[in-house]
Formats: sequence, C-alpha cells, structure tokens
Amino acid sequence: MKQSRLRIVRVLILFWVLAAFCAVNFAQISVPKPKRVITLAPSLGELVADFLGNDLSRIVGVSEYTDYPPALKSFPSVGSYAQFSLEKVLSLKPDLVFATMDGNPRDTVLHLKELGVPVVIVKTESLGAIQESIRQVADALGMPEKGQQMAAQLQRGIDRLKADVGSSSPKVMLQIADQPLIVAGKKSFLNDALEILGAKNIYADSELPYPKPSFEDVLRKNPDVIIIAAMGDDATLFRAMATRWLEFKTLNAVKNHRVYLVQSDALLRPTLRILEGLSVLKKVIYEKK
Amino acid sequence: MRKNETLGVFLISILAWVATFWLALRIGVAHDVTPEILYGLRLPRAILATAIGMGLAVGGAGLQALFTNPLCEPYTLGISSGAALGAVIGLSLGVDGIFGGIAGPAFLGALLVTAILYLIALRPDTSSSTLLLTGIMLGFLGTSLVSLWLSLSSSTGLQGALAWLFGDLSRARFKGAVFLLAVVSFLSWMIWTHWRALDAFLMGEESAQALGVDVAQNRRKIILLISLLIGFCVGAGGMIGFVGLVVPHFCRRMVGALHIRLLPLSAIWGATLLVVADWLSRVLASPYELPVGIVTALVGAPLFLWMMLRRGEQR
Amino acid sequence: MSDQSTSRAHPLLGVYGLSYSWRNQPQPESSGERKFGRGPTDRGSSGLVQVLNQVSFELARGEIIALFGPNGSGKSTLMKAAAGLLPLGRPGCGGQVRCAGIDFLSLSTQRRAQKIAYIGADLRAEFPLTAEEAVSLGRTCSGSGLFHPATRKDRERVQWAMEQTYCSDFRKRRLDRLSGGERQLVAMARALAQGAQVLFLDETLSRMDLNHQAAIGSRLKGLAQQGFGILVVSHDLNLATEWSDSVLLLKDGKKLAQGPLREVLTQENIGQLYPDADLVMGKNPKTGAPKVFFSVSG
Repeated sequence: MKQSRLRIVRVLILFWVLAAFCAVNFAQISVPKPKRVITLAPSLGELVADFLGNDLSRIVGVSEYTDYPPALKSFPSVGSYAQFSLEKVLSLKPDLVFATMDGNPRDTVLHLKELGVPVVIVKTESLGAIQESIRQVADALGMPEKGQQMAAQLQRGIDRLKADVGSSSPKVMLQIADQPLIVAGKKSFLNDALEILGAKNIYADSELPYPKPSFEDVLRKNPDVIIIAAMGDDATLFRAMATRWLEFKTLNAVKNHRVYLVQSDALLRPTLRILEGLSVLKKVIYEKK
Repeated sequence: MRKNETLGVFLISILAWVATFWLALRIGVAHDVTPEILYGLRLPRAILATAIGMGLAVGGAGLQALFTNPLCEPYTLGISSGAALGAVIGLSLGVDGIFGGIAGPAFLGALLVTAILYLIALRPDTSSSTLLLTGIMLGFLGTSLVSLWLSLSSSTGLQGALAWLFGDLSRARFKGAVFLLAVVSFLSWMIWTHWRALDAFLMGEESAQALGVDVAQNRRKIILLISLLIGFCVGAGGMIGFVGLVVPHFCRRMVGALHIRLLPLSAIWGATLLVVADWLSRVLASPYELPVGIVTALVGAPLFLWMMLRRGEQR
Repeated sequence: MSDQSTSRAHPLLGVYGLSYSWRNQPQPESSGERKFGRGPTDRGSSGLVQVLNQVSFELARGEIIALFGPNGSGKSTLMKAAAGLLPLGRPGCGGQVRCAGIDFLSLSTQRRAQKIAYIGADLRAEFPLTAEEAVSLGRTCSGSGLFHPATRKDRERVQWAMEQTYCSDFRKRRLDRLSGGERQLVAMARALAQGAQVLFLDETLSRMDLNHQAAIGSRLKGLAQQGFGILVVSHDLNLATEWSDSVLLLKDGKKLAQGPLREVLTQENIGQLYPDADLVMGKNPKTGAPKVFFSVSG
C-alpha cells in the first residue's frame, strides 16, 4: 500500500507542476484597424454597427438574436452568446472579437485568447461601465473620438433624465423573466438605471445581478410598481406574466393599478438605445393615475 | 488458434479508433480548416475524448469485476457526483487550471468520495452490496448538493456549469489533453496489472478469497485507482454515462471476460466511442453543441437494450 | 519450510480448538425450526452466538472424512474457518490450523489457496466465462508472472483437472448454459486446478445426478490414494458413506464424534444428530458400508 501511495503522490505532484506549466500568459495583441470583426453579444453587434456606420462588411460574424440594426439579422451566426462555437468563430478568421463578461462563457473566451485571437472583453454592470464599454469598443475599432462622443451623449441623456426626477422614490420591481421569476438585482445596469431615476429597486440588496426570488418574497417586499420587461415581438407570454400578478390583490402595485408591461429591447441592451428605455421607464414609474 | 483471432480483433479495434480519430479531425463545423482549428480545437478534443473514453471504459470494467455485477457504472460509486460537486464549487470560486477551473477541484471532490468509500472498505467484513449501496447514496447526495449549489449561485456561472455537467469536451487544450492521456494511460495500466485479482472477483468475493486473492487489500487498491481515474475523467469532461457500462459488455462478447484482454480492448473501444460521440455532439446541431453525455446516452442506451434482448433470445 | 521428515510426521491437516461466533445473530422465528432445535443455542452474555465451539480434528494424507450434522450445526463455518476464509480475530473466535506442521493461518491468502482448496455449492455465473476459463481461475494462486498469463504448467494442470471431473466435453460452453450439476463439476475442477493437497467440498455434489455422484465419488477415492486429504459436507448420508473412510459428526457447533465409518455411524450417534427422525441402521448388501434408513410415520 505504501508503494502505491508514493506513486500517487508522485502523480499528484506531476499534475500540479504541469498545471502550472500549462497556465498561459496572454499578451494582448492590438490590431490598429480591424477588418474582420466578430461580436459575441447582440448589444456589442449594435455598438460596432453604430461605429462602423455604412462599413458593415467589416463585421464577419455575430451572435444569435443580433437584430439591431436589422441588417445584422442576415449576418453569419456563431451561436448564442451563452454558448458560441469556437470553431465557427475561428473559421471566420477574425482579427478582432468583442465579448462581454455579462453573458459570454468565461472559459470559452479565454480559450479564444489562447488560440491567438485578439479579444476585447467589456463589462456592463452599471451605467458607468456601459459608458466605459462604449469607449473601449470605439478604441478597439480605431475610432476613439466616436467613442468619446457617444459616451458623452449617453451621459447627457442620463443627466437629462435625472434632472426632473420626483421625490416620491417609489418601490419598484423590474421583472425580466417568468418561470422562474427573474428580476434585476444589484449588479446589473438595470438597477443602476432605476437608482438614477430615483426609484428604489426592491432587490437592490441582492448580490446577484439577476436573482430569482420566490413569489412570497415579492409579496413581503410589496412593491409599489411592477415593471415587466418584454423582449422581442411576441408579447403574449409577458402578458400572461402581468395577469398573474393581478391575482395578488394585496400588492400595492395591483391595488393602485401600477403593473406595467414594457417593450424593452431598448432597455435591456447596454448601448446608447438604453436612453429610450430609460425614458419609458421614467414615464412609467412616475405616471400619475 | 485463439491467439490469432485475438490479434485480429485488436487490430480491427485499433483501426476503428484511428478511423474515428481521423473523422473527428477532418469533419466539423468549419468548412475552411485553418491550422488553429485543427491543432487548437479539433486535435485536443479528439485526444481528450480518447483519454476520457479510455478511462471510463477501464473504470467501468474494473468496477463490474469488483462488485461482481455487470451493471456497475463509474457513477454507481457516487464518484462522478463527488467530482461534479467539486468542479461546480471550483467554478463558483473561480479557480483557474488547465481546463478552465475544473480539473483540480473535481479531482478533489472525487477523492473525497473515494476517501469515504475507502474508510468503509477498510473494515474486513464489509460486503460489496454495502459498498454499492453506499456509493448510490453518495451519488444521490452529491447530485443534490450540486443542484443546491447551482440554485444558490449567480446565473452566468450556472450556465457554464450546466453545460459542463452533462459532458463538455469543448474546453480541451492540447497540453492538458496530452497530460490527461498520459495520466489515464498510467492509471489504466496500473489497474491492468491487477488482472488476476479482477478475474478472481468475477465469481464473487468469497470465491476470490478461496482462490487465494486478498480481497480486502485488492479491493482497496483497485477502488483507489479507479476513483482517481474517474476523478480525472469527470473533472476533465463532466459526467458522461454509458461508456463505462456498455463498452466492457460489448468487449466481453469479443474477447471474453478475462481482464488481461478485456481491459486493453475496452480502453480502445471506450476511446473510439467517445471520439465518435464528441464528433456527433459537434456536427449534429451546429453551430450549437449537444452535451456529449446526452449523445452517449442516445447511442449507448439503445445499444444496451439491444444487447439485453439478444441475451434473452439466446437462452 | 519444514523438512521432509517433520512434514511426514504431521497429519496433512490439523484443526485445533477452532471457535467462531457471530454477533447478534437473530434466532429463526418459525416454530418448525425451533421444534427441531435449529441453530446454536449458546448465547453469550454480549449477544454473541457461538457457531463453533472448540472443534478439533485431524485429516490424514489419503483420508476422506464426511462431515455430517443438522442444519446450523456449523459445518460450513467449520470448513470456511479452517480454510482461512473467516477472520478469527474477533471475540469468541480462535483456534489453530496446521497444514503438514506449518501454521496455516499465518500464511498469505495466496499460499493458503495453494494448500487448501475450498469449494462451495455453486459457481456464480454473472459473466460470460467458459467452463475452461472458470477452471483456469484456479491457477490464480500459482502466481505466474504478469506477462505470462498461462504457462505450460498452468495449462496442463487445467487440462488434468477438467479430465478428472469429466468437464472436458463442455470446456468451451459458457457457465450460464450449464446445468447445476455440470457447474458443480466445473467448481471441482477449479479446486483441483489450484494444486492444493487438501480439498474441502461444501455440498459440492448436491446437484449432481447419481451417475456423476458415483463417478466423482470414485475419483475422490483415486485422489485420496494419490495423497490428497478430503473433507466433504453432504446431506446425502448414504451416498457419502460409499466413498468416505471416516466420519465427523457435528452438533450445535461441537464435535459429537469422529472416527472410522463403521465405528461412528451408529444408531445412537445418528439419533443424537437427528432426534426427530425415525431411524434404522442397515448395511449396503454389496460393500457392507453402513446405511441409515429413515421412515416417515403416517
């Protein structure tokens, strides 16, 4: 038994030595003017398309559900942002790939880097981070001034919306999915949006970006306003969600008829269009009935 | 004589593996194959599939002998659940390693379950049925804990873990895959050196003891080796079922139940099966990938049922 | 290693003061079994059931001992414990086993299998082993090297063993396609392949037909003449007496009597073993071997 124990210890040591050896250090390669760009999230597709303007041919691949601008719908897909195909990405021979920490699988993105593909990773957990990501994308595309412009535009829009915010500070719950119930939590830019608009997100204390509370918890927290963010064109599913809330007559939101269904492709994308979403949000939160 | 037959079987089997390996390298999602794709993606994956397939098949055969039960699986011992639990925890804590944060913690998880089984096997009058039941219970416990952990953690981590749990070879890197192949080969060879004891176990523990095999000692050693093997395999590729169950069965029909031939043949066919399954998981629904574990189940379960039916007819 | 002279002086097998106990063995509940006194009635204060109680006997070279006793008297336990298959370290367990003078129980499992071959009543056939492969497993204890799975000696031994037990005809057939009796022949062959001089047959002949039992019986006599020592457990008293030399009677874990057939197989002794059966002693008209006749009243 001692002999095999020794052998196993040797194997373990070998394992850890090799693990250290295999840990790769990536140098970030920067390409001054990328001609073959792939975006791994719909929002990134939007941003890049925005900056490139008419030069959309420089985008060679997008993730599924990239639908804005509409021209991107017909571009080659590399898979969903949660699970994209490495092989597809590589076969398109990109010289720059945009990824986001909010949704792309970390290890697959790292793998891409290891294979020598230049990757720019953005973060979008707050409105400030969105601005930074805009600048990042623009820099990578070799258009830093455009980035500055857009970021400033975003800032102006946010400031305008912040300006005449009421002082009522209503308790809001922002729901983004049903079965299971998913809401916007602390580490999401949606939370940031609500705060800027002077609302109090009832899930601002959660550590997760998109927590999954129980119905009972929502009843306990008793929001004044419930906003359901509907994605895409088919609103029937989301309407069903809204009707469900109406059964809970004890909720303030239901009592005061403040359960809203909002078409929110714009709201849920961390791009300049978020301003549209934000103004709709503001209207909804402070609507006088 | 028998020797030439056996040689023939082995040659054909190796050819089968070579053919599937070539297939996995040649055909995939991309039509225009660059060196990065070939050497950076497809080759590591094929090597990893070879390694894991080998390990799972040898582990399965060993467990079946040890428990005198042809229906034994690596998962019967609950080791894969332990490995899965370790890996999920590792993923949540953001531990980085060769396979993007999984191999190390998974191995530790498997080792923990092995340690528990080891402590139970230390007592001289423990029967195999006790071990088997303990393994099944540990398996349930592990899987439940995995579900618990997943439900409590953030959603993006969850996505990654769920994909990995059902078998995911997409994280394969060349150096890591080759290393795993070396480890699996070494451990498989160590298990193979116990062929005499494994053969004796085929007729039951009491029988093995009467034949001169130190049951307690051999059981301990073999369990430890198999657990290490499974820990590495599950840590590298997630929970992949049916390979450990179906491949040894299939190979017994070709070369008989004695392990001196069974283990090497199972290793070859396990590798072949998983290379094919991984290839299918890539090409069937491209650019999406199916979890390999589901492909092996879809391939392995009907095969197993067919074998059971044929067995019934031949009686 | 003992030198030649000492090994000849010692009996082939000597069992001295063998005791074995189980913890918390529940007494069987059925009234029928209680009536016939099934199971050892010795219950120690710690909840130990004494299955074997200081049993000693010797088996000489060339001797065939038939081991008789009612159910639960400890026959199987005696054989397994003597063969080193049961751990004797627990409370209530103990004893010495000497094989040609050597302390048998201190040997490794492998060496033990080279000296005593224990065969049970059946072979498990969960895996597709052929009869020949099953018999070849008997060579496990021979310790041939890793890369030479079957030496010539191994093959010859397997061949010989199969011939001794009339298995050669179905050597290539799978175990699960053999009848119960045929499997028992394979079990015997496997034991012979081990190369041990002492054979323990634990109801190994129970499923064989009369032909085979008779044939195996005479084979056993032949092996004994070659120097083997054989201990047989059988429920078929009358058949076993045809080819055994002596008899060991076991009751409630204790040795009742041991000795040559005609001396020990008396009405009185058998009556003590099976008090509820109506017995008459008789003789085989041809061989003169003692026979027991039972009658059923009503």
